[in-house]
Amino acid sequence: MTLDEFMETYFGEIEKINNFHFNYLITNKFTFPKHNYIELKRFIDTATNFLSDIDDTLLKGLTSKLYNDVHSLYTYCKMFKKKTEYDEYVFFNDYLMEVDKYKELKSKYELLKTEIENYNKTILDVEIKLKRFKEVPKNEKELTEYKKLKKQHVDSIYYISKIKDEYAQIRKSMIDLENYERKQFIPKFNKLREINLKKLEKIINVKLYYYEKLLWLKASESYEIRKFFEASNIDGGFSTKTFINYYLKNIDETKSSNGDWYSYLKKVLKVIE
Amino acid sequence: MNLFTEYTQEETEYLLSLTNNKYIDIKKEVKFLEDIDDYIIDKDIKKIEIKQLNKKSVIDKYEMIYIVEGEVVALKENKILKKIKKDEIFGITNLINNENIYLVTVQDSKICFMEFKSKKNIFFKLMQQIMKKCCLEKIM
Repeated sequence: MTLDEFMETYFGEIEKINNFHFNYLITNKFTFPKHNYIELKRFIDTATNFLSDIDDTLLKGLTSKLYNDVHSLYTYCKMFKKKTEYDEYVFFNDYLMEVDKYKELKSKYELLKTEIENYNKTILDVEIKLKRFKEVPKNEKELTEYKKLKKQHVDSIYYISKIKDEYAQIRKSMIDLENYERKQFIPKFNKLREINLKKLEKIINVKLYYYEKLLWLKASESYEIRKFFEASNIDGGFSTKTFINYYLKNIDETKSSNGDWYSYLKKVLKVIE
Repeated sequence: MNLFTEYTQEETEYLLSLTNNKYIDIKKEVKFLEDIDDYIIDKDIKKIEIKQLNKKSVIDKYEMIYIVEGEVVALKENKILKKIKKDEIFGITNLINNENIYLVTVQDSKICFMEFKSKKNIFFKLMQQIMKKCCLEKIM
């Protein structure tokens, strides 16, 4: 497999997903928001759960469809990020094992390794047997056996030294090939990873932006939610910003368990301001 | 996990309308009239014509809002479907790049696309006044 063929296969799925959604958004002239709604996702999820608890009909029809769409793409994006996080890992485990020349070298290398292990074992066995003879035997039968073992020992040492040279040469070729392939692979892989992730995040951002709008429109049309807003004295209309402020008002920041949530809310409030 | 969710034309148009239907923060974004009595509501306004938008499927889907004898009503095929109470109106805003077309958000109803061919200024002010009252009632 060539490098280009590998990249095409490896990034094929994400490219297909990106093209499908990007074409849809561009063809229909969807608005690409300036804000990073992905940062808001945690809060949008919280708001969705909170508001759905008040009115369980909130998540239905298009609202539910868009929410699930965003959720699927977001989950896929997270999985893809994790899968591609370590370029060296992908290089060794996924790519290098598909390079024909490397596969050939590796197969020879494994074969020689097994042979070396076998010869080492033979040498050890022969040495144990030779130790039984404290001196060169005089008995003819024993002498024949002794000579046979000696020959086997010498032969094994000769072969193993020969194999070891070849083994070292193959190892060197493998390392050279690894280094060469790495130089080609890493920059190309990281570039494609970045391009595809950026595009997918852009898609998720647009969809989250529309979902956020749809959520609050539906919330504003819900009798139960409007009643809740009135009863809770939530001031400022139905929006994420209003709801973040409501959460911030009611959070007990002295509780350490709320610290992370409090900082997050403060941070995302800046995102939409 | 469906990674290839498809949307119908109707769903797509509805989503696209969301960016134009900027939900109004009543207190901040609507400049209310100081006093409605400063303005004379033209009593001749019986009906405001609605332009048939190119995408007929969209307009058919939603109710039309008219002013009939000074009251806001939803009409369909020249019949009054219902009178819209002032506290049912939640937002009115003009669509981007088309100052003659407005979006009106009504409780439990959908978005209405409207074009005011004449007297739009007075109608808009009337709507603002209705919203102001609605807002004040809510706040009080």
